[in-house]
Amino acid sequence: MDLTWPAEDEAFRREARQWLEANVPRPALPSGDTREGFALHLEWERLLFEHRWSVVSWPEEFGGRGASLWQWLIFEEEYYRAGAPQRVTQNGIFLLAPTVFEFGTPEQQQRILPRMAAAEDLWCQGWSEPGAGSDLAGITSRAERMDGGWRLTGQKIWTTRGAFCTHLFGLFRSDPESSRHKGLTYFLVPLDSPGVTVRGFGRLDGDEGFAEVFLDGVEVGEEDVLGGVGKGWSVAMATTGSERGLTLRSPGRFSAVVDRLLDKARAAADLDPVLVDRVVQGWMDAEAYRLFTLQAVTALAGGGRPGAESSLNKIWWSEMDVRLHETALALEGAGAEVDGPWMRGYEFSLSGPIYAGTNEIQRNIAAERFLGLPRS
Amino acid sequence: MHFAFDDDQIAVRDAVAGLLEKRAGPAFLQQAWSEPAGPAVWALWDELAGMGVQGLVAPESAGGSAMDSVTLALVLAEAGRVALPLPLLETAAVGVPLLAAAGDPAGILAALVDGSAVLTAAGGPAGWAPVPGASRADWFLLDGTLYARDEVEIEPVASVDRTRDAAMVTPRARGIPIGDESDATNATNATDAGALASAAVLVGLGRALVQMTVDYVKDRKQFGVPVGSFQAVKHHLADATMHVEFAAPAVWAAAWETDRAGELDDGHVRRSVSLAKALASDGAERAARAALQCHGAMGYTDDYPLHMWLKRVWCLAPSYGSARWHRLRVGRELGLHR
Repeated sequence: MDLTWPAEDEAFRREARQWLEANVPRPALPSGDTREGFALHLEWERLLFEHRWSVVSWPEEFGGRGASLWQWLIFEEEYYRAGAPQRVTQNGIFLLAPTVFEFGTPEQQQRILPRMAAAEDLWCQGWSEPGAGSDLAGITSRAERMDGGWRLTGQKIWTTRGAFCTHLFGLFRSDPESSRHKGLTYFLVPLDSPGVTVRGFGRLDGDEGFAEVFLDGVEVGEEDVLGGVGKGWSVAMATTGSERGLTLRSPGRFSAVVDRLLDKARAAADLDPVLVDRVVQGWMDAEAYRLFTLQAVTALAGGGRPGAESSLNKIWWSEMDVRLHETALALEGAGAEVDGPWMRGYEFSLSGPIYAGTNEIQRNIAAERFLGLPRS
Repeated sequence: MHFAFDDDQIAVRDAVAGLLEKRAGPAFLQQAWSEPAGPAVWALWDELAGMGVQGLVAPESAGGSAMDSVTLALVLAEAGRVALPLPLLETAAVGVPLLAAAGDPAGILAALVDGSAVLTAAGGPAGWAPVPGASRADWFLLDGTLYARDEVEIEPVASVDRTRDAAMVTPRARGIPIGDESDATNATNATDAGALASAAVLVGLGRALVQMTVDYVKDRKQFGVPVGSFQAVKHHLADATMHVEFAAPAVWAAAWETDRAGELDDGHVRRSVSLAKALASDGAERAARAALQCHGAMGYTDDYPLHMWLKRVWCLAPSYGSARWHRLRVGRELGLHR
């Protein structure tokens, strides 16, 4: 056991910190979940790419630095510590890319990954449907064979930043006789294809961060199938491990929130001891998440795969995030009403226990696959 | 960065776990419940000493193995798993390391290591916090000072956990300070050693509570199906295991840092110990609540062994600083209050 960073990782940290301090936009950009804010975030993403910070852990040929998982964690820590902008490209680079690396053909990797790293193609996730949320296997959007490809028809919803993205990765039922987890195929869909209609709509915080995507006989090629016809479920599940686990929500994100919470609490006069206790609990929760992650990354670096503990992970960070923001708002007292950063952060945190599989579903998964309880 | 145990650490943990599994099952614990200071229970003390457990972190000059605190924490978690009814954490993880660091001022290290002497300690202020293993102990560590048996007054007390063999112990002599620092600092060092050690035991208790309950709800049928197939039961246990498993790495990390106290800022190590104890106390208490609830009426009887694990959690969660006490201390360390 060694809980110190080697010199080369410390050097990586210094390089990241210096670059971020010199380049993070001040004042902070407006929300990336509005049309104007999204455009400004794209400029930021392209600057990141230009300096090879957009996808540090990817191989150099695809625009990364070939950084280790450890260095990726360090980069995340520095990124959020510096108060750098939200990653509007995250659903592509953190959810789709791991799947492309694992299941994509060399041609797909060459075609998709460099443009994703450069924020030229912007990917959104097309999984949920009006009738398929927690019960994702209830997907009814269909893919019908045609000459040289497939014709996609159906409706996707809750597609984050769908109104601003250029491409969608989604699950479609390619075998009309199939049900549930069988007969699904993972497709990659350009959103400028004929037959696609995207309608943005507001989230809880009012930003147009959501979209519903209607597909009416949209034609895609065989090269737009990822991981094989009929294999969609298992290909998609590889992505959920990333989504629930550490890649979407690294510890650095929450440590940065805790640092801001501590500053806020220290600045408060006559702090209520009950609130002090809650602030310390927040610090402890984030520390526990950091240490749990170091243990998990050690296992991954040794060749392990994310297991059912990624469900515990997701419950932990999402519920911690809500509590951190509740505590900050409690410190603000009646001032909490103002639609400022903490209130907006709170609204966003409330989505955590819902997206990427609700925490109720995660608790079922943890109980069944981590503890071995019988399925109902 | 490498947050995993090495082969030596795992080998020692597994060897001790093997002995405890063989010798300290529920029947053994039940025996300790009926006759806490009985010879059958204390026979295991000698077997543990024969394996080198009391002297894991003691220097080789005293007959110890000079292993690290992480190994000791792993072993203590195994002791927690079986709710070991002996003052192992007090001797092996409070007395031995503190006396070794102080240069063995009472000349008792070798005897603690070979099992011929027993040291116990109070998990809080002397005269207020019950002391376990009191009827057999030769040495008492109270408020950072060491006392021989004839230097204290021992008043047996009924612990909620009868296997504890507890007493209120009050000093009646000057005793021997267990360090060169002020009395207050010596006492804090003892509290920290006990907090880390009890956190490790609480992780083991929590894991055992979850596992016993998982086994029970897979077996127990109602409405024609195992009760463990109901979501309400699953969610209790998912929460319990999450809180125990998120406490565990904090315990191993605090143990690792304790061995590097010289290189690290003092406050930093204390903060890590507090993190470990607060998370482990809360995690084990959650596991205890979930375990009792998911066992239904079966857990609410002293005919069934579950209660002994519950009661040990109730004893150790508030010992060496409750979760709340440790959060207050971290709050000071973080500059939130004085």
